[in-house]
Amino acid sequence: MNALLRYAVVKSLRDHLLAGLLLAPLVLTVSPMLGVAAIGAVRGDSFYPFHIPAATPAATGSIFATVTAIVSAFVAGVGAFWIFRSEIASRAVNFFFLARHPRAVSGASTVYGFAAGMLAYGAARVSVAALTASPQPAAKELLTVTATILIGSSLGSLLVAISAEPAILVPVYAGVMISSISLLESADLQRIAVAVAFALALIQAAPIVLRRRCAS
Amino acid sequence: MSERAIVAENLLKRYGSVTALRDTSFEVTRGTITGFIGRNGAGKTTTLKILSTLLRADDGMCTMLGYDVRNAPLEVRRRIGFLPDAFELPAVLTLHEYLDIFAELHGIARGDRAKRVATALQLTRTEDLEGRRLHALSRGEQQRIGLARALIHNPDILLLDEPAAGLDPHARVELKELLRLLRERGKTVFLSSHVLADLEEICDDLVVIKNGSIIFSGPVSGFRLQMRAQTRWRVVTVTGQLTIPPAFSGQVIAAGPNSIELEGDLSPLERARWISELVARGVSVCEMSPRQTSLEQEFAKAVEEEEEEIA
Repeated sequence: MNALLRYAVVKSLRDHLLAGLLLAPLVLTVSPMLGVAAIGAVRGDSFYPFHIPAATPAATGSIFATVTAIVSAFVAGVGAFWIFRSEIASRAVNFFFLARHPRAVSGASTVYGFAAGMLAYGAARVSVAALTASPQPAAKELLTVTATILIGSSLGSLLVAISAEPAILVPVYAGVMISSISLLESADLQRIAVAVAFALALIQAAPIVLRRRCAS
Repeated sequence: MSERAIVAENLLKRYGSVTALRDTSFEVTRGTITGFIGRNGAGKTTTLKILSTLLRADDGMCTMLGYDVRNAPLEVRRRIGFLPDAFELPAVLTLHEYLDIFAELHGIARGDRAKRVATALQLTRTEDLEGRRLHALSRGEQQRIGLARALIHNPDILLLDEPAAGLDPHARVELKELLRLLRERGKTVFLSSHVLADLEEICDDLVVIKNGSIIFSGPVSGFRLQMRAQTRWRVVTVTGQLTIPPAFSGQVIAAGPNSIELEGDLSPLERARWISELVARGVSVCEMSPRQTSLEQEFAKAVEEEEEEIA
């Protein structure tokens, strides 16, 4: 799988997909905060630690942490979907199959999406914590977000095996929203375990679907 | 060690209601170049995909160097290099990166990869493209890069689907040289092509497919024999009226005032008698030359005969 990940990273560095994925949660989360802070500063309000006018900095931090988690999970899905999208659409992915099992291809796209999602989340979450002077995420929050990002990336790699049409990102977004709401609303260990098991089932299904689709 | 590199037995493949392959059987001898010919849609690409393990046959058996494509696909993949008829290259990677990644994918150790890449580049004459990104390439360059990728793990069998498509005459000459070199190195090459003149030049054997069924498998000379290939004779005169030799059972292909072209068997004795007769009648013969029909003509004939039989 190392070679496939090397292929994915080199390719996405050159076509700027990786930069886009890593910056998306940061930009999407921090930009509105900076905008609101700038308006506050013009009005003469205090703008640091950042907070939504009717909320405390801690509550604001919590809201934007949720936004960051959801956007990062979606980024993971987009990353997993997009990284081998053109190879799958053109059947060039068959060259990979001649050297490696389809599991390696689906696995690499899941790992790629997951890594991009986690890195993007890290950068955006640290920024949110710094801007709102709120605490860094606790272990349970990290566990929940990790599970959500895993679902996003495994969903992305399964759906690209079904269709390489970008419109199929809508189910990725829906899946990410459902899992995020479910996990972030009440993150007990049982739910997290179910989410991880669901993601693992998607990971198992992706190479089977991919193999069937490309064998035509 | 078996002399048979590829064995296909009774392959059947359906796409919905369309039968792409029916009862397809043939063999390819190790260390030979075998041409695979058939019209568009005859089942060539489907066969090549089955041989390369990318597609499963609905029925039948196929082995590559003794390994069953269905039961031992990984063993087969280690031993084959496949070049499809159309493929896409990652535009943002350089050729060196591309080949190095495929060498790693094939499990070649880091220390050996540079050597393997250099060999593939040298064989396919793509050294000048090594540092270039894989975009804005000509069709010929793409084909050579595809071949380099197919050769990177030093496979025993090469499956090539239309490797000469879109190549200019110079590139086709280079491709033929490469295929001959690979045969000298003991590789087995199985290639489909519509450029039958090229196949005739380099192939030891032929497999001819029509509507998913094999209509011939064997040496190129055997195909001519099966098609009852007959030599064409061209006779040109300076003066006098040409006449057909007595008791000639062949066909008159073309006849002009000073030339005639016949297709059929004429023994040396019959030819000598014919010339004597013509000379005796005052006809000055300045040329009598044999013209063998091309593989393309034989193939067209084979396809027509099959169609007539079906009709």
